[in-house]
Amino acid sequence: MRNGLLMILWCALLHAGTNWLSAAEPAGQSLALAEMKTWVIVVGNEATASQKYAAEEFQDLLQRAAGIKLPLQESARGTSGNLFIGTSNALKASSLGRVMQRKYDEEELRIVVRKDNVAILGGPRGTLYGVYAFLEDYLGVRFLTAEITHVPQVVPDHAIPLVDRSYKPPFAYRFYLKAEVMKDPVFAVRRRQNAASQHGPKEQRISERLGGEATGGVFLHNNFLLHASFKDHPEYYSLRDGKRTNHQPCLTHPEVRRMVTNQIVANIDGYPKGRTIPFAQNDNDLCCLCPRCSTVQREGAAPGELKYPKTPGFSAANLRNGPPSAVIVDFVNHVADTIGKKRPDLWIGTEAYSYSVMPPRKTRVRPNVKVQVATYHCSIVFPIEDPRSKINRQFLGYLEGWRKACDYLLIWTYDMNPRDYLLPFPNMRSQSPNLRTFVKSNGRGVFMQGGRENTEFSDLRAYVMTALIWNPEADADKLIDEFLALYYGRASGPIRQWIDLFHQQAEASGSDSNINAPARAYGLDAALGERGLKLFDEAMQLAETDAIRQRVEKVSVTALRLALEPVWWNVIEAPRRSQILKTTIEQERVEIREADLPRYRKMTLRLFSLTDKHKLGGAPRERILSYLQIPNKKPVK
Amino acid sequence: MSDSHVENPTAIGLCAGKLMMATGVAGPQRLVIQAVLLCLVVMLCYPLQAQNLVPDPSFSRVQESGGKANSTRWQWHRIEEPCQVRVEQGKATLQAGKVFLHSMEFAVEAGTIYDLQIEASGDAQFAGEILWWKQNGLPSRSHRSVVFKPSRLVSSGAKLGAAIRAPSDAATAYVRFVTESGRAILKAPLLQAAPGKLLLKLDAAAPGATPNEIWEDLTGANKGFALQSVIHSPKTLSYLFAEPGATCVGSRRDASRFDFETDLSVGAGRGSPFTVVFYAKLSGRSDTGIVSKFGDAMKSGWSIGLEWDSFGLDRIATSQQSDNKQNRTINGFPGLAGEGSDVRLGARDDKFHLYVVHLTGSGGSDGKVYFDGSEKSLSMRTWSFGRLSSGSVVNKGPLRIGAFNKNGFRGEIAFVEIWSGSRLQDGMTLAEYSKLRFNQGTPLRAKKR
Repeated sequence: MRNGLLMILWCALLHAGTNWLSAAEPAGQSLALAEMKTWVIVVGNEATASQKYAAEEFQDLLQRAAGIKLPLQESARGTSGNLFIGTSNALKASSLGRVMQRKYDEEELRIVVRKDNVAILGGPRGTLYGVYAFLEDYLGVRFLTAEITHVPQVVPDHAIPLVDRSYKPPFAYRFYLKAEVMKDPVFAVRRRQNAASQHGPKEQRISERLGGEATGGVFLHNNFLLHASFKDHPEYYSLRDGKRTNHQPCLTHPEVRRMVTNQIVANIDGYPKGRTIPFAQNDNDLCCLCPRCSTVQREGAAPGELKYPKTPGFSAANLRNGPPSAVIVDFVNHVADTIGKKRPDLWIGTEAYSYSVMPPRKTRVRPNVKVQVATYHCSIVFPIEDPRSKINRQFLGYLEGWRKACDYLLIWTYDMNPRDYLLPFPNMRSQSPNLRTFVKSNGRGVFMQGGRENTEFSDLRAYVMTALIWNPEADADKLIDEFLALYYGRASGPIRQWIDLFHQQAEASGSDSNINAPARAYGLDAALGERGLKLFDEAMQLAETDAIRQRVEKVSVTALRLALEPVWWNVIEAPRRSQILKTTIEQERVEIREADLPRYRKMTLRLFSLTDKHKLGGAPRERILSYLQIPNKKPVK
Repeated sequence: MSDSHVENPTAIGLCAGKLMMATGVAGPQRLVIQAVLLCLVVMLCYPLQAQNLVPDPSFSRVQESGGKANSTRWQWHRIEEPCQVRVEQGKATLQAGKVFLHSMEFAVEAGTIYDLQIEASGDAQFAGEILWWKQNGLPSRSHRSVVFKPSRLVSSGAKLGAAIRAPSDAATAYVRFVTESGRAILKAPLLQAAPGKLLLKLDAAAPGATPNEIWEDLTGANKGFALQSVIHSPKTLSYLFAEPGATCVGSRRDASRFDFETDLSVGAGRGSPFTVVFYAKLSGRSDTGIVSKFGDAMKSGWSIGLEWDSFGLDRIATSQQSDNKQNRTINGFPGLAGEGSDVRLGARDDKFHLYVVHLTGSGGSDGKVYFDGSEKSLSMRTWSFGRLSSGSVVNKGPLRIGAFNKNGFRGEIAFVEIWSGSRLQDGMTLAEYSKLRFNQGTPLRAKKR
């Protein structure tokens, strides 16, 4: 339970002053910043571009925080007074030389603070992460958004504790798909992201200077790399209801296997070392049900022997012969066997998603195969391990099955409602425990799919989720409070209350809905939106500057949108629902009293004026305006 | 028709008989050995002509698709149920919503024209296709050829047949029969390389009655070629092309026989391959066009050139064009000037050489040239300017030997042949014919009539 008072306390701690950073360490147990005034930053001439960049970042941010500009040089100043960044001959020869006696994992960082010298080093990306960890933990720097970095003014007697710490993030692959992060690779790396969209623009790729990109994650629908058209080869595709369809390849077809394998083999020397070759199903659940696939799917059971109860999210036809993933695993194992003989360093990747999320009963995945398990089905309100969610309990069983079947799992999880980008999304309390569950389940990487740019709580999510992906043990509530306090100042209190309110109401509803659901499926309603609007009125009053007022106004759209729920329902959900239930739209619509229409019109105009002003995306403007009989003039003032 | 260039197998058998007589083998034993040898020789000399490439044409081994790729059986595939395939007495009966029947895979030769035939009856919609694969097991660039377009069968049955050319990157293939909405009874599938056809044969050793006016075609199918500034040399059994514009012009009546359309105009696998064989000596600067067929104003047509260019480089150059600008494909063997491949052919030695130049019909850069009996074609480079458009190469101009305008070939030509199709005499491959025709440096010539 959070309240405004707590938020004010946070503000007092973080924003009003930086005393907490200056709290004196016991004598002899810390290094005062003033003692470093004459030090040098040592980055060897053999350093990588990323290590050199790490040194520049350190120099710049230290100067901004403490007013001290330490010179960058390739050799040590002497036996003391050196801040070594990255491995170097100078570090090796120094009093901290022992830190170079072991190899560091690609993502691992190590920070050693001694009275005489400091070393920040690690794996190829780890050194840069070490610098950021140092700046955050010992100087209070916070990388809030791509545009805003919080750099507190640090007093000369500010104490840095003497430490020798290392950290290796549990997820070696970290990709939060969100424009707020991806649009600026410098910010992405500051948020410890190490992957970018393979198909994104060049300026969004993480260069070697920024540590380079990790590969081997995100296997998106690619027809299992089968490059044979349905027109030429319908026999290569799924048999459903007695007819071949082009939805998924028939993975047991010997020629499909031969073709797919041959095309990899034909280019086998072209793959960089350690690369993962993705084989992913298409985005539908129409897998092949031909007799050959059904036999493989049964994993040795006799026809009719397997009985699966009706399972939410699964078509009964797909489960008749057991989990369809058995066919996928059999297929990728076949490819992996051939490829593994020629290039043991390569990985084969596949998805456990939609119809394949249920793991095979018996078949184990080859050691050179990664499986990316998607949480699409999961309830977003409750954590995966929360017994209140039946669907999540079921998914936990699947995850456990995959953990046993595969040593290397990647997780594809979500942080948005693709159905409605402005609607409050009550998943912030479940993300942190979920990430910890993934760690326990052999999860070695995370691909978290966020919403469009400028939607719902975009800025907050970018900050909190990247922090949690880096360190799932971090306290999500603290991260939220920290961001709100630094980004919204005194206005953070009501905003925090709003976040708590819609989470509490969603939890109280017992919602078991996944990411793709309307407001009512999460227990959210217009009355809650109205309460939210009041909180945002309060927040606007509290906002200290115009810049903060703009930020508050931007997120107030979440409450405004929810307050308009009856309109949204009638325009967007009622037609959809009538189609599914074979009813009329009118039957599905809720009643809106004539007397309420002027108010809804006013709120709608306000909403679209804000979406225009703050470039918020994802609202079905034309349909809403048309329903309310408001002329569509852009921009709405 | 042409003189046979392949030695008579019977004659070889008789030679073997003489050998056996000399070594004391006689009587019935001798007859048996002679027969066996004869069979072997026939098999060796006609390796492809009579061979049915479709494995198991009597459908003795048919199963539903399953198990391994490269199966040793015919395989049928459910496309739309119900599907049923039965086999009896050399016939396959396909009853279907829609079903595919695939043959086993077999080796094919790139660029070769194949004839597909089958006896089919019933009431289904029926089609015949060939699926082509590259050496590495991946689909050819032009992967699926529809040989018989879908059409309704008749109960009385019919023998279907059509030809298609294998893509230039094909190494293996299988046949697919498609049956839809009904029943098809299939019998005796046959796929074989189509033999080539000799369209023109000129030989200065048998030039005809008026060798300094008309060069007669030995096939008898074409009118003789009218000589313009070309002189017959009985001594060297060749024609001399020394003057600018020296040329032999064919009849316009015969012109259409030498129009070879490309895939770009008539559809993938349906363009017409052809081969020009000539024995010639290069004596001076020569532009393209030792054999050519262009329409008026050279808008469209083709040419084969034995060139000696201003840089002193010699090469074979081929050209196909659908207008006189950029829409043409030019290939050079072994290379083209000015493109980092100033390679010499080695024909500027004042000697006669044998050239076998083949254009595949694709209109692309996949022609072949065999030089002096080589069994391996020369590497080829494509001129980077322009590409044959989808326009037609057909024209009304006559076939010409020598120059097609004031420029052209300078030297001597002993004989010229033009073959249609992808195979030559008796179904021989280009490599086989190249070797045979060169005859270890003494090319076989026509006998004077």
